[in-house]
Parts: sequence; structure tokens; C-alpha cells
Amino acid sequence: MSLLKNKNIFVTGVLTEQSIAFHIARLAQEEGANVLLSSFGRAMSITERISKRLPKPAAVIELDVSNEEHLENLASNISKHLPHLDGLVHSIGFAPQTALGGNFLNTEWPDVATALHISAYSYKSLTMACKSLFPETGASVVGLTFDATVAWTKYDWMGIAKAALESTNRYLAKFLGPENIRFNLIAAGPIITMAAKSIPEFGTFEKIWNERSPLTWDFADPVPAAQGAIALLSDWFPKTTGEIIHIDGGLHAIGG
Amino acid sequence: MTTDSKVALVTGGNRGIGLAIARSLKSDGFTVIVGHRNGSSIEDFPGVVLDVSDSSSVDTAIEQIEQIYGSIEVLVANAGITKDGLSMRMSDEDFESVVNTNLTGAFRAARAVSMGMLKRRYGRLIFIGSVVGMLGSAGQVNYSSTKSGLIGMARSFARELGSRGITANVVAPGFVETEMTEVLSEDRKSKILEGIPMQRFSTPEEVAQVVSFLASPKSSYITGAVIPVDGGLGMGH
Repeated sequence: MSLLKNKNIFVTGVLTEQSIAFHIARLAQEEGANVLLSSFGRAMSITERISKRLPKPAAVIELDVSNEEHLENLASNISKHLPHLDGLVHSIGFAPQTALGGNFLNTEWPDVATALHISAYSYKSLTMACKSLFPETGASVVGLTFDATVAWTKYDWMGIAKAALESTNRYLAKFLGPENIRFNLIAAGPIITMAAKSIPEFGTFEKIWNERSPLTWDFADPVPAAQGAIALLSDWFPKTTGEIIHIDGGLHAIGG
Repeated sequence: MTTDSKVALVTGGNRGIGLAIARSLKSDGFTVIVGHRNGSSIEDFPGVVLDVSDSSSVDTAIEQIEQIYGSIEVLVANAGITKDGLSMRMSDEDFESVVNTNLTGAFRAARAVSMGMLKRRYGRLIFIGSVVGMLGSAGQVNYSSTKSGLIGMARSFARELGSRGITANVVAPGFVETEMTEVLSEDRKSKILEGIPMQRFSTPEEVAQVVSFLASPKSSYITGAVIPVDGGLGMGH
């Protein structure tokens, strides 16, 4: 298959082989794309090694979305590897431990601000930092959310950050639609990975998904969410933007 | 919530004794990561790709865990393979590959976690040995050698790191009901049972609860020990 033949795709947030972003990068390569990864700080060397486990080792550039200098230099750093971008994958989220786990009523603003900055505002800042690389024919930007229309046990301020991300997705769609840039999110069901430690209490989610999801949900399988992202990065959703695609076994549609 | 939950890594934690250990440590309140060759998550344990026969895989896995969770407090070096055969007919390759996974693999994992443990001045290295490490086992010269080797390894780690609050011990199971022993013939099983004072195999959970004890603060002054969990099979050494 070659859904992404010759497309250039920049994928952030690859830290382990279980992460959705890793499988997006892997499937993108299998579908014919040229892939570039980013990482930052101590994780750089990890991402570089994980990159070697892709079908084709991808280059890794440094990007801390809270670092203005990194963002300023991003387009020129990317262009050393890829002359333009057809696709961008935002797989970045972080909340301080004080903002999660049931501490909702006591979380201080600086910690909330960090969660919003890294998990939601960065969707806009990353897009704008890459914008000069998007061709006139258009580009697809894909992010990852965890359904933020409802409140989740212990997800707390990360849930608010995801709500902000979902809204940012709509505003980016509005502002950059005229330039033919599409923005869509994958709302994946819970996947047990190390990096998902910001989603605590998996037992609770397991119960909910096992009871309510019409399709059997595999908590250990990040591939379905990655497949959805590949579809959104392809040319087969040409008039879809500002959308959230649920890859959650259908749970969002079921009341009980 | 994982805020103050301590982190335990179980190599070969995807099945058998390793999975039972993962469950037991989880019920003790640890955040448990299971490392194995394909890295998939098991039950609600996050998985990480960890091939103990490959140093770079081990180092990467442990860096990933430390990047996400901070330093590892408990390592259970459990990953092991068998390639049984009579010694005269055993190839170098079958001997060395078992050594590389069971013995060198345990070393690689212990070496990689020890840096974080040193900084933290606390750590628990728990090696899963076997009764055959002391008894010997016909047809398992490779496997039993690695299991004896783990005792020397644990005791050397115990001496090197003891002053920094890090303990190193071996748990030596006897025959355990797992996929590894399921393949034994009924005849062979009944022969083995004759040598076990308790006249039964152990469950994986019976091994896991001893690991839980060693992982806990209750074992604070135990290091360099070999704790048999073998129903009496290995008595006498």
C-alpha cells in the first residue's frame, strides 16, 4: 500500500515502541512516507535509538515546544531533512503530577499553566513554527486527545488541557482552512503504555471499556489509533477538518 | 495514582512466574513495568521492549522507564530460557545463548538499574534462580550453570552496593506450574514429585510472594541470600 507515497511527515512524541506516535511513524513509512522525528533533552538519545527500530531509521531533531528558540529554528532544522511538510503529528502532552490523580481542587495555577502550555497551546505553536513548510496544495495536521467532553476519574487538569486542545483544533481549522491545512484529532481509547502514566487508574477505564465499548477494546494495542492518524494524513479525508475521530471501540456513542 | 508509587521492573514479566511477580508487586503498590522481547503491555502493566540478550535494548528500556517514571527501585531479573540437551551433544551455541540470556542478561539489567539505585541510595536487585543451580540437572548443563552463576552475581552486587542501601538476593524456585514445566511428561513429573517433600509443584504465586517480601522494606537487612521456594526439593546444601 502507498497511502502516503512520497509525503513528508514530521512526527513528534516518539519515546517508546508502544507509543501511538511510534506506530504512526512506522505505518507512515510503510505507506511510503519520509518521516522525521523530534524529541528533547534526555529523551533525545532514547528517541534516536527507538528510531532505529522503524522500518527505515528516521532522523531525530530536538524540539522542546516550551522553548521559543527551538520553535523559531524549527522550520530551518526540519528543512535540512525534509524540504517541505505534507503532514505534522502532534503527540505532545504533559501535566505535572500535582495536576493529576484526584488533586483537582488543590492544583495551583503554575502547574495548570504548564499542562495547558505543553498539551494544548503547543498545537498552535508547533503548527505555526512549521507553517512555512506547508505547500500551497495543502497539508494535514493530526493530534491526539482523550475525549474531553466529559470528566474522567483522576485525569483532572489533563482533561482540561485536552478540552483546550480540542478547541484549539477547531480554531486552527478555522484560521488555516483557507490555506488548505486540515486539523483533526484522534480520540483514542485508553492504551496501556509507560507514557500513558498521566492516565491513572487503568482499572477504572478497563471496567468502563469492557462494559460499554461495542467493539472489543484492546488496551495493549496502539495500532488502531495510529491507523486512524495515517488515514487522516492521507489524501482520503480531503474535506475534513476541525474534526475529532473517535478510535475508542465506539464507546463515545454508547450511553450504557 | 502513580505520584509516589515506586517503580519495579520485571524482566520476562509477560508470562509465568514473571507475570505472577508483576501482579504481586502491583498489589503491594508498585508501578510495575514488564520488559520482554516484543514489549507489548500485558493486563494493565505497561510493557517495554527489553531483550536481555542485547545490551543496547536493555539500556534503552531502562532509560525509557527512568525518563518517564524516575529511577527504578526494584529489579526482578526473571527473564530466562532453556535449551535442554545432554551435555555431550550440546552445541556451543545452545550453551552460550542460554548463558547470554539468563546470566549475562541478568547482569545487563542489574548494571543498568544500579546507577539510578546508587543515586537514590536504595534499591532491590532480585534474581530469579532455580533449585537446579545447586542440585544440577541432567540435560540442563547450560541452564543450571546460569542459575548457579546468578548466586555469585547477586553476592558480588551485594558486596559492591551494600553500603549504598542496595540489596541483592536470589529466589530459587523448584518446580513451578508454568508453561515451562507443562511440557514435562506425566512419567517425568511423578519422578520429580518423589523428590519433593511437599509432594507438589508450586504455583507461580508462591514464588511471587517471596519476591514481594524481598522487594519490601521488611527485607531490609537481607542481602546476598538465596531463598529457596522449592517445597524442600533442594534441601541439604
